[in-house]
Amino acid sequence: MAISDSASFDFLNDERLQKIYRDPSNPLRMKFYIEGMKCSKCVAKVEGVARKFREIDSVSVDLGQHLATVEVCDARSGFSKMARSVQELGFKVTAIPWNEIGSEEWKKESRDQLLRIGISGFLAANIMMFAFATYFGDTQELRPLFQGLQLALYLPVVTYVAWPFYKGFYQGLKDRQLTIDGPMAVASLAGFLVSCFNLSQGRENIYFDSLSGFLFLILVTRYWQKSTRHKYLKYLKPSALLDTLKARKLRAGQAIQNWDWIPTSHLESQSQILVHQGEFIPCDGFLVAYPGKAAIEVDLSLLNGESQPVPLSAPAPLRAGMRLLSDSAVVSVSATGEKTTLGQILGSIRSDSLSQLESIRSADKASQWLLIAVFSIGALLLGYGFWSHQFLDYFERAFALIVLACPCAMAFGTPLVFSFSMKKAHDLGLVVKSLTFFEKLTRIDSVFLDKTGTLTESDWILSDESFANGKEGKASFYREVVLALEAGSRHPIASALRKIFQDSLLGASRRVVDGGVETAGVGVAGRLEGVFYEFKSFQKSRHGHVIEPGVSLHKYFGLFCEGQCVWSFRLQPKLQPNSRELIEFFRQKAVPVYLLSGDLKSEVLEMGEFLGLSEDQCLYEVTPEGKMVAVKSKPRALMLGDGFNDSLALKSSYVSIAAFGGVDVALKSSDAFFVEGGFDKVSEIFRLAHRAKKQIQMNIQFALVYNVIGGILAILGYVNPFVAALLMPISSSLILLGTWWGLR
Amino acid sequence: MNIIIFMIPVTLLIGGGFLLSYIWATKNGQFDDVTTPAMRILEDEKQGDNHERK
Repeated sequence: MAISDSASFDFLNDERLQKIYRDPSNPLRMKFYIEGMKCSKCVAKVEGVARKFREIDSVSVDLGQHLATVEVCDARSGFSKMARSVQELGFKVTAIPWNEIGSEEWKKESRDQLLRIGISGFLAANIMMFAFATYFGDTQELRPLFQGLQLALYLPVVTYVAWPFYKGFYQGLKDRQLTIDGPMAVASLAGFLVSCFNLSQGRENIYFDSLSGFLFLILVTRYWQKSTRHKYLKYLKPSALLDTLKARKLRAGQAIQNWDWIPTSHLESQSQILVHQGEFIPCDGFLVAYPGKAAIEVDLSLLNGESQPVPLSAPAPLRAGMRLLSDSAVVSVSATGEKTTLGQILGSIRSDSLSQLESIRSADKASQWLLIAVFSIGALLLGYGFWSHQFLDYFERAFALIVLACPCAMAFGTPLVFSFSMKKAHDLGLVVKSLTFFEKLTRIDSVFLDKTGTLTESDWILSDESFANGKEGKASFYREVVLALEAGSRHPIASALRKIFQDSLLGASRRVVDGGVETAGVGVAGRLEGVFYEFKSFQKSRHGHVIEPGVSLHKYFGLFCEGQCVWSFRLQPKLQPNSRELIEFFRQKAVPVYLLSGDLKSEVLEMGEFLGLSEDQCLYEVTPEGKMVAVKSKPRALMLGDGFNDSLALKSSYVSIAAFGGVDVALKSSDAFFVEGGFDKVSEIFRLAHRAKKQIQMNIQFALVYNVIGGILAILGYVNPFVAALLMPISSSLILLGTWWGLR
Repeated sequence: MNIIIFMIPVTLLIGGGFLLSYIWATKNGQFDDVTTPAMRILEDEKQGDNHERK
């Protein structure tokens, strides 16, 4: 349902009607379908509306889908002002309900274009048929009939088919901007008038055939470009992550082994899909019981940051983004893509828009200059033609030049690179909030790594174990004692120890402590079989029991039996796989890496040494604020941290990537978020950003060379407007192909 | 030559007929989605569909 009221949009000021359209979670946000957007220049125009009115906070445009998301500070007039002023810019504006993606409006726009293409194709083909008859051996008596028929068939062309060009021309005049529609409109009208005049004078020169054929080709090209944008620019927003997922769709009425991979975007409601262990559930839905399987466990860490397993039984509702911990599950689909809860979370993340990107702005500027150059050369050609009495010939050359050198390909190339990079990043498990991420990543001057939870896993390993003399044989007894002492504790160390000792003590008897006490910051104590045991942390040097001044101390854990230390060990966090490779990668790129940690100096330095970092690259015992200060000291720092604990540092760095924690929390403070695993794919993302930068430059160079060569050929008269109209989409296709190849 | 006078309206009528059917098809959404029909061939027919019903 959508109301389109071109007259006033006053209905958008009505609180009750706003309810239909606005974002249910934010009453100051609404979505509009904008018909007629062609390039990033249009995007900049629409987004520029936000600067004109105080009531409008921000406008961000999705060029691929023709959608604009608007945030206002005053709902009483903001929405209607936005709609009206965008309409005044020459676009057709329709308010659409928040959870729809404007597919109805998209359909309408496409149907309209297809109709125009079909009708112009029919007219052009028939006009050509009659024109060819007059070119090759007609008889004098039939000639007026054929010419009259051409004129009759051209009438709908000049009125109906060419209408969008007139509109674009008029709008361009109003905004005092050069548009490609101008020459088309002039050619269509002038060609019609000149041909009619020649017809009435009984002359040969009538152009109905070439004009109608030409307009048909241009319309086809535009439709193709629009579809290509729709298809390839859809990855530009974070919520597109869900569209890149695929699902195992079960064949209806067949055994569970029979399934096919299909993209989640093509899943229908209530169809059933199969999910395997360790995979994300790709859509919202319900758990379906199948023989021998009614309950599952899922991990919600992507949605809320909690990594505890959650048990569920059929028909529990499931959300996209839950990770399955059990071996397999069948899900009945209820919503996919942007309609899922995760899709809505990702959709509501405020990201930067295309027109804020430096490379897009420079590409736009380049194409604007190209357009000016092309129009000036065209005008010179016309002037020369007029002066040398070969006006028609030179008009044709100028026209071919303008058609051929249309900078559409140039304006399309850069967003395309970003879209492909986004898709690639999604494939690597990274959600990117704003597109500036890729640009910024190529310019970093330093990398800051959080230690705990980023470089290290949540699992711990036991090391530096030592026993008091003669007690080595009692290792497993001591383990039982420690477990018994820690049994009631909720301290992370306690749960880590439970995890480590669990395997080695499988089947051993459980011991119970009398009068167990836990002292915060010290440890646990209690009586077991009449003996007093204490388990606590203490500091000592690494190679001896004596505390000597000047020797760096480490944190040890010890079991004390009646005050005597009988067993001591260290707990060290397990390094993430590929941590060393990651640091090595940045070293090769000559980007200094710093380790940030709140832990003790000795622990941090030890890890730094292991990772090959010098002492001044290890920052120890820093508070969250200290981390922020450290990150801010470098103008272009890349911060890698966990989305929960390092949000301050992530937010204040030049560019940041988070991992772990819930996606919405993490993306509030950082530019990108790894959905899965740690940072072992950072190097690939870094390489991707550099490849994207190179591809953008290559696209612009290619478009320039193509346009210059084609332009020179057109000026010399080797290319007529008809061939130019055929060559125009070819440059866009070549850029599409080149970008795909470069970023494959 | 009279035959041409006869042929021209016939051509236009035939062409116009096809154009009208195209317009009708477009307006009825025949070309709205050109991706999924190609995939639909991979889908199984729902139970109780034509096959067994000979």
